Amino acid sequence: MALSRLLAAAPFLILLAVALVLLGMAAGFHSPAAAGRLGPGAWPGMVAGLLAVLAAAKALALARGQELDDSRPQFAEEEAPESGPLQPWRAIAALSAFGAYCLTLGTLGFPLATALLLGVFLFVAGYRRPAALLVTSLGGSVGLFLLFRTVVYVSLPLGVGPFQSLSLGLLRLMGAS
Amino acid sequence: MLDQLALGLGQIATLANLLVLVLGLLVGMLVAILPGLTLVMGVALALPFTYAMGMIPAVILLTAMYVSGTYGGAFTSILFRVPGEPFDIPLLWDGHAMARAGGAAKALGLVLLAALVGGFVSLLFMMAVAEPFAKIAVRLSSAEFFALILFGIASVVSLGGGSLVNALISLCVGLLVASVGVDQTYGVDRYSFGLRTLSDGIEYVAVMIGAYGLGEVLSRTEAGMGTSSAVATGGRIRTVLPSFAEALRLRWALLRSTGIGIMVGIVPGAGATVASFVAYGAEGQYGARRRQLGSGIEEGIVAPQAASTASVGGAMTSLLTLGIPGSGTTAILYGALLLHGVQPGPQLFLGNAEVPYTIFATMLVSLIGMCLVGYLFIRVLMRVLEAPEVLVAAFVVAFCFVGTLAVRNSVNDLWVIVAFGAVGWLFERYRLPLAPMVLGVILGPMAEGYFMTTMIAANNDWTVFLTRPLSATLLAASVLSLAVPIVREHWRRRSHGTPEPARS
Repeated sequence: MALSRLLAAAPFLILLAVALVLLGMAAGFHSPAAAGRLGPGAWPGMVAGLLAVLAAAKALALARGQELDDSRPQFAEEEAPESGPLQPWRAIAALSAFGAYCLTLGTLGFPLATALLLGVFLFVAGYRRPAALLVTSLGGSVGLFLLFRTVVYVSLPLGVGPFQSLSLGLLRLMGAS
Repeated sequence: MLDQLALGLGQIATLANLLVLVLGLLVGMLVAILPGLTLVMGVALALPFTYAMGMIPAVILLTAMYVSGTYGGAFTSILFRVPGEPFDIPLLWDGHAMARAGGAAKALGLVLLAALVGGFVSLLFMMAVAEPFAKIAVRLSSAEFFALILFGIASVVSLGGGSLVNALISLCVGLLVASVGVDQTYGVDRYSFGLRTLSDGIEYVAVMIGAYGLGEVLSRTEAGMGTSSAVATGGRIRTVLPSFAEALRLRWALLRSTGIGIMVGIVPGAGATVASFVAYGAEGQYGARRRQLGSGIEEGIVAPQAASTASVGGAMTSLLTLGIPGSGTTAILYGALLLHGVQPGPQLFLGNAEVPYTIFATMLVSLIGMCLVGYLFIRVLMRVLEAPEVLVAAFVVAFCFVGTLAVRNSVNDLWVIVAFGAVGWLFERYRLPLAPMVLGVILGPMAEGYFMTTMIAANNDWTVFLTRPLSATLLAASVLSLAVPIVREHWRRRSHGTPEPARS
């Protein structure tokens, strides 16, 4: 029981620690131009201080097994659709895929990296129709690449080495420069 | 005023701009229909498309999306009990009840009427008060602007529902995120940890895309998304407009809700969702048939819809006259105008009057257009609901990344959206509302700027906020808006006894 209360309070204890660190950093923001006036650390310091107080109050209440004020229903939650048990591993896997995308985008280029991202995300989210998954990933990636390069004129990463050749080949195939 | 409106209409009346307007109407309605893709998110993702456009087409596209997006989600709420947008939730209660009783066509007709009335009245209000309001706003001091922003933040936090403490925590996180980068008063680097990317500050568009876009996708992924069609959209969808006598009978509900929508829309940071719920609540307090609310009555449909469409006019008034976004969507518009070298605010009517009047004209044409599109093409638009939710989510993810790349072509920005995607997901898990955080990120720099300017000018004398009447009034209103829910909760607990300890 005590452990579960502590676990409930843990995120707010972490938030408290972060707020205190940020408060300490704010005290170190100085500018010679601020002599005799509120300095560059004043505003973030006030906000960090308020955050620390709120996080501490929340953590203390949860550790005691109380809620400070949870009686007001949150608007958008009132009609939240009923769902099965939560599967956090899916969200973590998706988040990892997003991170991998950021890491590999520059190397693989937009078309290949995005195709992999779409495919992995669909698989992680439970889509198990292989043919449709392949078509959606490849088609979606190529479609977005062409749309943004040739219609919206957004410069997208082409990749390096053979991956760059692939991206350029794709553009030539579609008649785009 | 009318001659300038005519000039605004002239700006729209080119083939290219008309096509952009129709595109905006269609996309706005599509975005509103799709659950899991909010209007704010849709407008944020559309922003990169406007980089290659001129200012006028960009403003037309985003304004048309905004107006039609307040109407589109009503269809799924009423027909399938699936709210397309958070502000469509009240429509579930009476709209879907009426549809279940065989009155779906009538319910859709009432929504159309409410959207038209709310939209036109708020447009007239906006046109009547914007320029005089701007002339007054030019004379406001930084203390008053700071108090106004604080009042907006306090209102959103107190009206938003849920735990007040959680909302304030969320707000503080947003304000701290906005502090990252070079400080605008002294030019000191703050919280950058030696990283060049952070020295440039954190783009609020990236925060919105990450928190609302990726965060929502992660939450739905964790909850389990549908891999087949979620909704069968077969069957005829009709709209039957109410008769004149029926419309006349609903006049008080329409006018009251429209007024609420305009006033809530003006409050910085509040938007259609707050307007919709407050209007529904007011109908429950003051409506002639308040005891029947929730059972499928007409007032329960027109109140939230009129308020949410009317809030567009209020939010635009706040944006154009004060330079303070009245909602998340107008925050995106704010970014779009800045991108094209236009500074929203009281000076806009003095230097760049074509912009506000083009917006007025766009809203006028969009109101008519969205009703026509809704009346004639809704069956086609609703087909998008037949796509499996997981496919829609995958493309939302792709659009999030591409849209972010379009802002600064920086992979570092992608890390920002991934980080805020994680934040959005964790906030959802621990019941911290997202809206105050995003509000803090958007309004934080403005709030700090006005606060520091005031304090420097007043030689650190904080009483300057209390000696100016308007500033003091707004600050008192801010304190009251936060204190009232706390006091009410305290009295409720005293009269009903101590609540059960929270579940671990």
